[in-house]
Amino acid sequence: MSASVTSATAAGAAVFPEKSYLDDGTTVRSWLLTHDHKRIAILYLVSVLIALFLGGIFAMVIRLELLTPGPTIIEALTYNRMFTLHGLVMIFMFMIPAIPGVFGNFFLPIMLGAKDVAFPKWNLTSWYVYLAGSSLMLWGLITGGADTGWTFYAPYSTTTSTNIAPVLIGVFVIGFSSILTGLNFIVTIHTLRAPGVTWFKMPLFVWAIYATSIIQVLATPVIGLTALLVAAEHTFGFGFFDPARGGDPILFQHLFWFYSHPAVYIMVLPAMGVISEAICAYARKNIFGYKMIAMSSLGIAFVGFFAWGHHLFTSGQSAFDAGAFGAISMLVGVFTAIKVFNWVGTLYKGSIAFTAPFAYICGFLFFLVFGGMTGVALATVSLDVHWQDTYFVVAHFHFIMVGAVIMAFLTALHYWFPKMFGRKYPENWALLAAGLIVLGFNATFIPQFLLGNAGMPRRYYEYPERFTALNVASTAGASLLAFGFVIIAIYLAIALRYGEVAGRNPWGSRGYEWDVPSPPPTENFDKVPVFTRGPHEYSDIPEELAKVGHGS
Amino acid sequence: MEASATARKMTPQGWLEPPPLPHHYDTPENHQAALRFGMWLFLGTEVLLFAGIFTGYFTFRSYFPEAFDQASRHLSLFLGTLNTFLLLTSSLTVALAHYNAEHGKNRNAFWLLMASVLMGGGFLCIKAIEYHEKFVEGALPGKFFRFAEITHPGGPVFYVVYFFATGLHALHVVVGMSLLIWVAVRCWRKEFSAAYYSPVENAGLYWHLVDLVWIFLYPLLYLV
Amino acid sequence: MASTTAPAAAHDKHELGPGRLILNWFALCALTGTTFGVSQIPMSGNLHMAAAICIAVVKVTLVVLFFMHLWHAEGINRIVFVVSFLFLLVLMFFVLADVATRFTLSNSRIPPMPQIDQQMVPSGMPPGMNPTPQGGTAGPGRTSGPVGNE
Repeated sequence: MSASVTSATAAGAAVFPEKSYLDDGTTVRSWLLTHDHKRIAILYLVSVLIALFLGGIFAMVIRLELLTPGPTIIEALTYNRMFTLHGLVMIFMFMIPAIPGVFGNFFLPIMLGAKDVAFPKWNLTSWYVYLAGSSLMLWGLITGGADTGWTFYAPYSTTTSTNIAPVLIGVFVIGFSSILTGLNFIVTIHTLRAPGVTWFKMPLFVWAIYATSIIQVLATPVIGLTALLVAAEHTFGFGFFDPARGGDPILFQHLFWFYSHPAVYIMVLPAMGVISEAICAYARKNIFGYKMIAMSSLGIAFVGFFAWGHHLFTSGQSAFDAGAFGAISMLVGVFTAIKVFNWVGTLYKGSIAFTAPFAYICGFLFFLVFGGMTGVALATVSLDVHWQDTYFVVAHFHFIMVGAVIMAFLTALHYWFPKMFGRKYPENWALLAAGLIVLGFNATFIPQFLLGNAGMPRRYYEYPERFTALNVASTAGASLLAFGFVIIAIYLAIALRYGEVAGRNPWGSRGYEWDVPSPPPTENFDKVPVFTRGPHEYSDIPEELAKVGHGS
Repeated sequence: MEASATARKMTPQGWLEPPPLPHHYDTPENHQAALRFGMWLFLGTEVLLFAGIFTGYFTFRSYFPEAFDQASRHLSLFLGTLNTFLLLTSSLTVALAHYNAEHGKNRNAFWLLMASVLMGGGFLCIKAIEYHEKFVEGALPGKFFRFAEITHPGGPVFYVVYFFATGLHALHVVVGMSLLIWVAVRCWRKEFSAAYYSPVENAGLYWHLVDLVWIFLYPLLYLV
Repeated sequence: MASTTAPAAAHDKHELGPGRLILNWFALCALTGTTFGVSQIPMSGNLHMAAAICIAVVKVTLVVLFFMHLWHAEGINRIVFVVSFLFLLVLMFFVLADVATRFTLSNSRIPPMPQIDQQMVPSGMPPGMNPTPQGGTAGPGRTSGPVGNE
């Protein structure tokens, strides 16, 4: 094993617990029929990683095709299918379920002092529903495949000759999984908190998951209905969205984005929650402005519902709506800014441990600010007229989706790897991979801002000669990014089996979840825990913890 | 959530003892509150599901007011009103069933629930009759529209909204009936008492939601 | 163990007995009759809509409060229901505001808002923009026949 952070626990070498959730039943059946939220989290982890891998493959195909201005490796229809696949797989099979499904499931009960989520059987059901929906969607995409883009705008989606109906029903079913997860989490937070865990004693990750779950419950049904409407119109020629039959295509866009804009907050809020957790551990400091961060999570969730029309600026909605949506969209930036200031305030005068998760946190902060600012710029109607449907928008949302959310996912994966699996990953390889990813990410998406600003439209199979250089640069960056992910996959897989035993709290973190063994037992706690300290409290950190995790 | 009825013993009062509390809940009240809360959250999602259709209704109504007016006059007011009474009464019987189950009167609850199911079935039959009429008239959505009596533009759109809204609603009626039948079977097995009646309550809440949607659909489609 | 003398669940301290439920049902039937009756009165279309919605809201309130026990329920359940309804209204508000303030569709028969349409160039584009040279006639005008005769 290459050099890893040596554990400086005063108690001596770390010991792997005798009985944990991992070996409580080793048959396939015990995993597939489990009610344990931690095992369900692992089931989700396997699925979303496969989804991430698939989505990444489609991305690489797109980028390879865009190496040259004309046709490169695939034909136009296949290209349309590729970006549709990339979007659908990444968004519905990875981004939406990933952090809540994996880390929310694993840690929410533990952070609240509960033994499981409110409805464990519905929790397992949500994973099966996710699998069913994903399978249906993928099957539809493989047999005839949609070419509409993940946004399946009518009237193209209602008249395309490709096999879109199963894809849409798959989306509907995956949405159900999202609703079940959110519902479960909300009830858990309200009813299963241990004594002493008042609302303002909950860790910030829980607040983030709470806000996310509210969005999931309220917004997802609308996309479900929209998918059904489009499927019905495609199959039966109904004419809800077809102007020739009296329908209104802009109505489609309203219904679609009423979910899909809050959806991006479903993706980003848990990411922000992860950062709030990890940043305290790696700065060894209390969170700056706990209540502000908690409340701003709710604020983002709320305001996010009133902003969807900024996707319709150039579509033909009325000027009144455009103005209202533009103004409200900027408001979301305020809540995000509050969080960023508080995180930076947490780092200030902290005792920083520059580990791989911390490298991802740095990446997250930079990309969130950059991507967020371009978002505010896009919310300006007059500027959006120029940038709409160009690579500027693509770069903006990838800065947030990849630059912020996936960085946070990687932060969570590394921060909580010892807790979930009882072993450490190799720090040097992790730092190398983090460097490649941050570098690769910049190389991929900064050229895309320039491309978009210069006028290259998105979802185009061919482009003018003058855009070649930037496209090649972007593809090169994507290759670097992919390479970084491959390295992570390899060392994490090895660490699962051969990593150094982590012990209960290798980071010296004060998160509640670090009080239970690594990995935790099935029941989480022997008896109902009593919480005596606040979340993220480092001011009174005990001696033996203070030495841990920072010596490298 | 519910242990099988066969594992639970019969109490002297004539109902089965409540199922064991799941290990992660501290009190039965907390568990019941959680189940109720979960059900209300689910009902919230159903409200949002129908939100899109109602939005579509008002949107197209504002585009084609004459067609909507004409088309609604061609709907059978009598059948629509009858359906409304059926659903309202079935809501009453469901609420009464809840009351009875909570007091351990399982057999009463059974008959009341089956009455609701019957009325739900009646609702569906009437809907089938209405749909059949539409097929015969040619009053159909989108490209199937052949109803010459709607002379203003927008006829097909009205029927898209009509069929989708009532179709989605009918689907929920079917689901609701299935839930009620399942709970009724459990009433027959005398599973419920003051200590445990959540399934009756939650199935009832779902049925009431189905009624709520119709309370809005009826005037919008038939009356205005 | 069976709680033979278990108190009724906390949320039902004041019970909604059969009498009250049947009373609620009578009220609902009466309201249904009223809404039917009102719909037969000759009034302007908007008034009919307003009346129908008002009565429907009252009926829904009665069902929610008494059949669904929200009258006695924990606060959080009430919040859930009200909030879902509010977001339904948010969706409807912005969509209907858009529809009401957008340029009228070329295939609808709504009388156009005079001041806007008089300034419109014949192709139907907003003032200040040139019709794109698409060879010849204007875009879909107001003269298309009734929709549905395909």
